[in-house]
Amino acid sequence: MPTRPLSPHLQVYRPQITSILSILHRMTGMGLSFGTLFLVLWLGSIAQGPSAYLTVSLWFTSPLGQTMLFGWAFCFYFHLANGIRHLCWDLGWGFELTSVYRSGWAVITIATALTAITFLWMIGR
Amino acid sequence: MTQHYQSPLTKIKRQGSTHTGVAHWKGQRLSAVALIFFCGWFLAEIISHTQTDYHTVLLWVSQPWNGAALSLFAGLIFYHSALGLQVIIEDYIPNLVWQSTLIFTIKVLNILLAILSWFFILRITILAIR
Repeated sequence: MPTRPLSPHLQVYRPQITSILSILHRMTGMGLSFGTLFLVLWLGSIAQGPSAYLTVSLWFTSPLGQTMLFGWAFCFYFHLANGIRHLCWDLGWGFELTSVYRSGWAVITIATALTAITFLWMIGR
Repeated sequence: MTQHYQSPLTKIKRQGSTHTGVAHWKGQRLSAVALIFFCGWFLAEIISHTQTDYHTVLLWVSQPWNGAALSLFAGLIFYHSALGLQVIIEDYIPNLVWQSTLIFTIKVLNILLAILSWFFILRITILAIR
């Protein structure tokens, strides 16, 4: 069955803070879901014994592990901040366009700041 | 009882609202609120416990309050994750057979991971006692 032509959508619609943060919320959620596997991995390594724990610790402190943790940290902080924004909407607060834009920028700022603080603190240890 | 403003024909054709789905929405929000606190607690503990030796971590997890909080944290996270992934799958996969299969698999996987986490915490507690 021949597919009919579609008018362009993603190619032409200007990206806005509303749409970008919305899809970012979904993507960070997926990233966090993937990260739960590592939570189980960490817990399992403790249950298995010192050698297993050492292996997993070495992996987490490796460059790849640290990069993944850094990415995961941003996913977490962003999903947390935007999630609270969502919950405010569920309670009926902040629906005016100015509020949406302001809360959106607040979410980005808070998420980046918290990630940076965590990262710097981890470096310091 | 819910009133169904449907003609008999549309009722037979199973058109109109399913009148379900609030439980999903509610569960997602409630687990989200709970997770705000649990994730904060977990992150604070994890960040303060990096580069600690095995023994310290073992003793920390085996403490009853920590083990209980971790167990609840794990349960909530897998529940919230499963609900979220369900919505994503429903949005992007039109085929109903694939949808149902995938959602079922995701749910089973999350239940498995939650139970696995609980078993690990139990095992850690036993190891710590020894």
